Amino acid sequence: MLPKLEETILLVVLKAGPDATAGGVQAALSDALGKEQSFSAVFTTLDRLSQKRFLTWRKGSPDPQRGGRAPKLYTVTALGQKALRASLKTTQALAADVGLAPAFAGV
Amino acid sequence: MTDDSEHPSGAGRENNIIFLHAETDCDLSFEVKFVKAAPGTGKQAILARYFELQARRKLVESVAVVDEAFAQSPKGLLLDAFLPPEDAGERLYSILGRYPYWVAKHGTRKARFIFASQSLLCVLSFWFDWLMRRFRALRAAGGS
Repeated sequence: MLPKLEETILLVVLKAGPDATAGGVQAALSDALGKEQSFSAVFTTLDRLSQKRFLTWRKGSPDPQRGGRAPKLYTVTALGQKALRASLKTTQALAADVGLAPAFAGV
Repeated sequence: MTDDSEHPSGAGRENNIIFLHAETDCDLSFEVKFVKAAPGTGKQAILARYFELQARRKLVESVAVVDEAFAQSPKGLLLDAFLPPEDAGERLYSILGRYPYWVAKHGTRKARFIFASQSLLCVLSFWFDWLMRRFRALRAAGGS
């Protein structure tokens, strides 16, 4: 089972489609949770997910407006999707057991 | 928009339909009060045009805020000094991307504070994570 933040970030990257940036992930998380999220937590989690091979990344093109820095563009791997599905299934099963949520069909 | 005052270019009311004329409908530097519309244009169409112009004006304003924020954005020396170049670049790219939003929401002073605190947290968490990885690797090597 994945830690909650890893699970959420995988979902956000998956939602953002291929080539999600860390900034986009942080903005989506902040919007979803209604509170400004820390970049450090996002970067650390993205690094960990990359090490676990749940994410792959490639270098994007540099932006002159941001001092010529280039972003990393993240994509969820098949392994990441499998881990996410398993994690969500476990969460849903546990929630359904205590009557907090219906079983999540299709997961 | 529904200002009844006479505009120099001849805006006015006729048969309960507002006919408004602007010198140019692209001049977004002032509050949109007069909308250029062909005679006989319905009130709904004029209102729709008004809201479209207002939205464009706000967009122009927000683009100006973003441009100004980027121009005056911090340099990110903390990240450059304490992180490996590749990691510093990516982190700075992302934090700078969010900076105009902070400027628009909180003002420059607080935006700079948020930028500095986010940068500091990034540096601390990077090295903490690095240490923890080394520690785990050492422990695994010692245990085997």
